[in-house]
Amino acid sequence: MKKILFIVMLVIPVFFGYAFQWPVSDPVLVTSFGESKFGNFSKGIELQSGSDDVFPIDTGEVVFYRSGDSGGGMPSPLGNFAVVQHERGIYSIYAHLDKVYVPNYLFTAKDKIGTIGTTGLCEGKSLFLILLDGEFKQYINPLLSLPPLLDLKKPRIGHIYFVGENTGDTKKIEVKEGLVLKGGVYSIQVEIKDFNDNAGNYDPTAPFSISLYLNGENRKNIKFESLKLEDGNMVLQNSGDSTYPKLYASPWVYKIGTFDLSPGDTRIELAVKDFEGNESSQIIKITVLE
Amino acid sequence: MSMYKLSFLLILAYIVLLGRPLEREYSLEPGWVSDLRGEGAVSTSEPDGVPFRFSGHFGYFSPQKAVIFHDNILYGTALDRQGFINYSSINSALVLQSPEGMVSGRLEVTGYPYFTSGRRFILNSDGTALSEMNQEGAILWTFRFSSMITDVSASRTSVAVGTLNSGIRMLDTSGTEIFSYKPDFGKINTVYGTALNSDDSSILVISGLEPQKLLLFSKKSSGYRIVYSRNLENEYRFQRQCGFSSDGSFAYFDNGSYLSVLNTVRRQIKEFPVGGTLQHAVIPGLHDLVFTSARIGDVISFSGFGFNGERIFNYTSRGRDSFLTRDTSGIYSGAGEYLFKLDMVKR
Repeated sequence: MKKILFIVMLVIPVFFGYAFQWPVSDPVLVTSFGESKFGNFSKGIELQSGSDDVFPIDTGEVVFYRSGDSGGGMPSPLGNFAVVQHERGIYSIYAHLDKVYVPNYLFTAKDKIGTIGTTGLCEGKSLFLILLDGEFKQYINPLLSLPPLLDLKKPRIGHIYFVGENTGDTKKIEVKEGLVLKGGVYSIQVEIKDFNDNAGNYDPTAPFSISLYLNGENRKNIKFESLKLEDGNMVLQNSGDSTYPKLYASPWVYKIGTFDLSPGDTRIELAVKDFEGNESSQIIKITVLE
Repeated sequence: MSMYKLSFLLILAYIVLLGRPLEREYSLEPGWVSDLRGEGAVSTSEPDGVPFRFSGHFGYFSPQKAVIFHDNILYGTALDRQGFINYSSINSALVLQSPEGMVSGRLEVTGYPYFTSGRRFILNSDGTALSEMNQEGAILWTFRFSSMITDVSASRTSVAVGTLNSGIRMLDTSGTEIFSYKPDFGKINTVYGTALNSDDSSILVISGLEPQKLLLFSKKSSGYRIVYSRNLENEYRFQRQCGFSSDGSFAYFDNGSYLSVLNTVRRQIKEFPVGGTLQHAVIPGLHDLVFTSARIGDVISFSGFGFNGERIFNYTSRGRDSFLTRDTSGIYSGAGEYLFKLDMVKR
């Protein structure tokens, strides 16, 4: 029985293609990739754990690190950290560490690289894990390459607003069933929070994807998969021109896009998924006047 | 000619042709000492204080009258002669204060400030963007990098930024890129250290692994060109301290328990055994000494070297973090709870 279990455990990650292992045991996701953090996109994920030990997500080589003793005069918002280079130009960065252990530069996934801490700009004891694709110069959502977290909670869709762009009325209009409003160009803003089973109801995170349909037509998709610097701005890839100020009205309110609402009945459908595939949707019918 | 006369002429010829002046001797004499324990602010009326920071303390001192203002560091402090920001680890605003401790500005931003070469910068929360602010705290420009910043060095007119994966980028005072270099040797192009001299004519870069190279760029009419390159025997994978002497004739970098000093004209490297982890190096110029502070366990070792490599003086103080600067009248050192001045007398 034990042998079968061992084989199953060995095969599952290979079958599902999890490239990496969790850097901490019993991880609790408290900040998701692309989430609004300190007025910017979070370029990684923030994890809490019952254990302080941090391990590399895969075999690799430490190419840069900073511990209390090794920095110059420049401050380090990432606190104490280590950068591990893996195959295919992937870097994993472990930040806000208390201690950094670099007795050798070559690491396997079993070699402790540090302990979780509070160094640098962070809100509590946590590990900030960043995945950087050095070849394509983009930050990747680490959840894409890590084993799944057990989470059955659906994302919560809160208030939905229209903000007039050329109607002369820039105040927020809450979108409710049966709403009647005059035609024009509106920005659609939606409040979304995703709660994870293991994080309780205290640490919401960003969803993994947001889709908007107008009268059945898919008008906008936002995916928190990767971030890349384009023309001096960090842009959420495959999500339109989503820079931070274009996507976030406030930390939990997303600017889905700007749409020209023509007169007639309009069906607004919003579908939101978290990384584990839990989905919430909301359909609202409104009437647009001349 | 008699034997006596011949001997005299030979001695005279030796003195004229081969003789060298006697080495000057330096002696250190106690100046003043300030105990930084206890309450913070001391005095506010002294103009032009010299900033210091070490061991959880920061403030300003007058070369003649010891400490004129001091306080404890919250999490970090950025300071220059015009003022300081004492910040906590997490912040949503940075408060600018004058050397007397008066609030002079407020900046609604989350990041860590870094003051260097009379300029004021902010690193954003994940260390991938650099902004410059003016004296009042208004953001002048922001430059975002595709990977994290590993080192920053500024002059009055430029700033050189080393990165994890994008080489070195040089920006002008408006944040516009004026030069970039991406190492194409070794197995990684990480920049481990960079320094810019005061007139932007030279850039020192330590970059790469296997090999890790020391590169000296010099400004030519066609832009910056590598004028000196050397594989470093000791490769380190953390930020390496580097800088230039005040007159630009020397560049230096930390090299394990040594300070390595490159003569930028003769392109020769001289090593000075600092004995521990280098914390500060002060190299005024060719006709002065090389001053260093290094940590050896729980002790800070302060040394002065002649350019021939000879250690002229050494003193130690308990502590793990140090401060070191120099002016024409003496050496100002800090370690543990004490800031002290030693008058340096040439004989």
